[in-house]
Amino acid sequence: MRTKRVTFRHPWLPYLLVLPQLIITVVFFIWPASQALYQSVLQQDPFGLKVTFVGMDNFIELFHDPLYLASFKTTVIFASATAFLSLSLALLLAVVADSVVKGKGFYQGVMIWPYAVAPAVAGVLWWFMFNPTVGIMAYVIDQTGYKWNHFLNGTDAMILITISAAWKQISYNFLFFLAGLQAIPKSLIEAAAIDAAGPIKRFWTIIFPLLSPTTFFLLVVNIVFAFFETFAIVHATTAGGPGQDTTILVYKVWRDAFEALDLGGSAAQSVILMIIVIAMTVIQFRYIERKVEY
Amino acid sequence: MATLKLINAGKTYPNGFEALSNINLDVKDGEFTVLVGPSGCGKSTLLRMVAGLEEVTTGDIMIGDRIVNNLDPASRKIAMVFQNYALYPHMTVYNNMAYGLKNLGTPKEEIRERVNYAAKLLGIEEYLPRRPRQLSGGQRQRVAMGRAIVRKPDIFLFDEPLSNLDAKLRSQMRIEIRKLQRELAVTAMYVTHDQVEAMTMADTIVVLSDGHIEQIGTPKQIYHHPNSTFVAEFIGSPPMNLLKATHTGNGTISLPGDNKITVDRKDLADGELLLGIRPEDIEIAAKKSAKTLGVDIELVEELGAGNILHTKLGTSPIVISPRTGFDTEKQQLEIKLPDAKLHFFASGDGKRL
Repeated sequence: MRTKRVTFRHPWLPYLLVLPQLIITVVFFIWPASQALYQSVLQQDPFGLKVTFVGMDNFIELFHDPLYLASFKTTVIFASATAFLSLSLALLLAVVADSVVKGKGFYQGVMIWPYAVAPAVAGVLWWFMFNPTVGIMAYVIDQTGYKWNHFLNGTDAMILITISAAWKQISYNFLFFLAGLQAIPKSLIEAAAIDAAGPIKRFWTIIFPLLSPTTFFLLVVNIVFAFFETFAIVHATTAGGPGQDTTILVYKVWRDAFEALDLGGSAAQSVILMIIVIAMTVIQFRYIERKVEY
Repeated sequence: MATLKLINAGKTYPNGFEALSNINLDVKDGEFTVLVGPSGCGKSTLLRMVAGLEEVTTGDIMIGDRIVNNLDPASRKIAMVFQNYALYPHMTVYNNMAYGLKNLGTPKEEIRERVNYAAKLLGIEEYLPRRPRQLSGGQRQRVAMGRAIVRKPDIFLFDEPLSNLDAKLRSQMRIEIRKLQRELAVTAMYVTHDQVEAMTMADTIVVLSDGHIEQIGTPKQIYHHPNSTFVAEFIGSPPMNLLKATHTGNGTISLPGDNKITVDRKDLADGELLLGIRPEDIEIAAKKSAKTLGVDIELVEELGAGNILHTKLGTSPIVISPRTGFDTEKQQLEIKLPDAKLHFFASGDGKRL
């Protein structure tokens, strides 16, 4: 691909044009991020009266803290379950939507709605449906003989936040998958049909591989979402409980800072999260640029 | 290897649009049939019906002695080359060619043999480990052909396979496809909108217009005896001249600009008709005589090997591609319309008279 080179007559004009974006980035990202970085090497008493420089102590302590390591594990489980669930359901829905003939626009339109729901609202919605006392889903599950209670059972709680988070991401994934499916030339599918591949085989040998750039992109986006943008869902449904069972990393950052008032430790956690997200972004750009385009 | 028969085949879309009607066609074993017509005439639809990619709404399609209307594409023993090649971008050339055989459960050893054979035939052996995007248009075209060949189909179907290539490569591939088809002696059906491809490649040309067959015939028949003004104008470049004329009886025909000629066609009814003559059939006369017509030269197109003259007879344009030299300085020219080369069409429906 050739990029067009644009030349500005005044040398300061391009800088002026990117200035608003730069200001936003500095104020809302660089500044707080550097604050977190700074905080992570300090220790502060709960009343903010005394600040001590402690070097890497906050980090060392974190990695010796079984609760933090457990939270790491919880997050990995939560993120992979959420990504898998939302990706597979979205792909299924996109494939169906792509083959729908009548009412296509309506169906596709409706599919987008969940994305417009705020995470906290989505959390509360599912929390109600699965509420052991009044929830319809809990009632249905009860009928099968299983006593659903996400207030007491850690696995139930994990399933609940996974469903809530995945449900919100399905719309987004659906859109990308649908666009990806529509970008596959129809003649390829027809050629495969002539080449004696049935619909299922066609899907796995032609369509799915051709969607892999989309799938990989969405995988990263979904993991990032599960890691970093699910605070509201967790807060509105399980509040990290029962016990620590759904305390994912972002939730722990908040809890340790604003409930346990361990600012230094919390800052160290957010620095680790920052490193993770940077790493994932790098992987994504590297990989997408190199391999995925056909 | 097989025959292909279409019996009253037709296609009507659910929205009521009749894409094809009453298609009767008999393709002999090993014959190369070209479907030609302007865009929207239904030629691709017809091919896709044979392939099983479009449903047949009326009539029957027979491959060999089987009616294949309700068979899926895979069980029709056909292979198709698509306009955009439709190569699987994520597979190597080898796997592209082997894909169909794998799906049919062909033993690995045989797959390798057949793919290698086809690759050798097409001269693409060295590209086998590559992916389609590392190939040029012509090479992709060959891979698409190879994918069709390895399946040893009864019928080859080509859907405008050359339209994405540049002119030079196109004429080269034209010959290659034709040679290959003869060598393999496989029945072939080829769709194109390019009349040159139709003329040069076909054993039989099927001219389609608006969802029906205008004419079926060998290239020669189609060229020299077009059944209608549609075929006359569609085949041949530059197209046949059609002049508004009136038959006034006894073979006397009055032409634009108060010109008259006499032809040996006593069977023509009196009244208006269209007189057709191919640009290369018009002779240039050295001298004015009772049998010549005077035309005004408006424009001369130099083609190197020859010229195309755009002239006017009275107010009607006539295009001439003279076989003999002529004086380029002149503004006027005397021409002769040889009797044997004249075509007459009804002025209403354009049918041959």
